[in-house]
Amino acid sequence: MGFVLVRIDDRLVHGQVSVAWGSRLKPDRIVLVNDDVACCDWKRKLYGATDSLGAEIVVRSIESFVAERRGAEAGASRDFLIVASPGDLLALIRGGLAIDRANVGGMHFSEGKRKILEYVFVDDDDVAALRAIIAAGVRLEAQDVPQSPSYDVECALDRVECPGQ
Amino acid sequence: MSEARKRIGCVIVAHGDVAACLLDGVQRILGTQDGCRAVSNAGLGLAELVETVEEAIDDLAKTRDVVLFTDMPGGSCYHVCQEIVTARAGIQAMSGVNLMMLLEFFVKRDHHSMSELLRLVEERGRGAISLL
Repeated sequence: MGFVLVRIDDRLVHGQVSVAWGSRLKPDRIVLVNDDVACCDWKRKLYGATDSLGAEIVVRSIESFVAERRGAEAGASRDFLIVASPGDLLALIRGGLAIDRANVGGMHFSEGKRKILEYVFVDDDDVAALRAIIAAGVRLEAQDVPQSPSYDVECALDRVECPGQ
Repeated sequence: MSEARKRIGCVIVAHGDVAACLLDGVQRILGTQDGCRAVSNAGLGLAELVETVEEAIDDLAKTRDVVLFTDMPGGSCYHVCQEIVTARAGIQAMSGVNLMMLLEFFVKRDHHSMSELLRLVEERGRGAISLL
């Protein structure tokens, strides 16, 4: 498959990603797929220059990532894929990214979001995207760092969104 | 200190309780300091962290020039400081913050220009690392 981990994290590439997961997984590349960073010159340079224990950091827009993978052989490289939101991951899946599991590492609180796990806050759009990702056959596990326990996101959604079922 | 020069304040932006603890360490050594704020990234996404740091800066910037100190190059706090420095004129930022840097900052801040102060702080921070 080529991915050592696919992760949703609204802090993008930061300490938990580059140091905690990076030292555990030893990816060849950290691939940050984010339109906001990809279209901004200084942000692209900033993230591209992150010290990540030897892993090359690659920044792509959603469109360019999908186009690049279309028709490409399943690579031998060990990539660590990072997206900011469930909506972005869903766009990649709809664009042809085939995965059977993904990690939810950080979806932090902002106005109008409700808590489903310690570091996972959602609004209606997030819930719809998470449900669609799960419906596409992807197991979603929330785990911020390798040393922490992991939680099934579908169970957490059911517990909060459909209590009593 | 020249009449024209504004005093210099700082916002420390770091992981967990690091910023508050560094400030606590400084004040146990130098006594209570004004013109300084500690910000944690705990529980905050990038946009919320930017907002929290901006509020701390705005609070200080009425009367002071402001420098941001952050901990880990490549961390969320660092990226947020970079974003603010890029977007906002007149704000300085330095990573790798340690206690010696902050002590140097607070002791010397009223006696030097911003650029000279930051040079001294950087030198002191690097000099603090040694094998015992």
